[in-house]
Amino acid sequence: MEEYKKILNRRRLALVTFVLFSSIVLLFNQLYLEETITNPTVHGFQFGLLVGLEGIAIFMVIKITRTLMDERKIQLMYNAEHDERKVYIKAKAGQPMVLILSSILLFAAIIAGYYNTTVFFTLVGVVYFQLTVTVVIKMIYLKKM
Amino acid sequence: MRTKIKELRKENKLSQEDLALAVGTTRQTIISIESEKYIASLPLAYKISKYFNRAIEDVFYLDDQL
Repeated sequence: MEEYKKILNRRRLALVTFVLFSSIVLLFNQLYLEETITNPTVHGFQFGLLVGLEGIAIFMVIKITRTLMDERKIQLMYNAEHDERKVYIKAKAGQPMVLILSSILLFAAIIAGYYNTTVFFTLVGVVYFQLTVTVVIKMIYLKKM
Repeated sequence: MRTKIKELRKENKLSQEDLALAVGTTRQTIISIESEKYIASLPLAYKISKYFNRAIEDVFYLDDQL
């Protein structure tokens, strides 16, 4: 369990770094908004995405910090992460690959947003559809198994 | 695949969460195994049987063995 505690600490450090970095980006974006903005919709999406990710990261930092204070919670978190049924369901829903693909598509969408709004919306639509299908499949399997 | 986990758990006055914690899985997985929705892998079946000091075939058995 000591090794897992180290992993959790490293994870927390990475998340705190992300929160600090994204805060700087958001602040920079707000201060120099006039110069960076090209398309209000695309910019709004990027801003919202970053704020959303930052919110999730802060939530995860709080969750990990609370977990690290209780040995039983650490064991429960470890079990939840390594639970064979959950791993099986995730694999069945194709979650690992979908998350990688969605991240790449989202990154491509952000880049495309600077050049073409149609491509941007198409890519975001694909990501949305892909994630929705994965969540639905996962829920079906969670109910079935 | 049928299982006697529920009976063994009640015999030992053990909650699903306690058993899950002891064998390194989640309460939901124990529920699924007990309700025979999910078939435990060999390592997990071995861990559960070992926890109750039983042989695997005493805890898990096929329908036709009834």
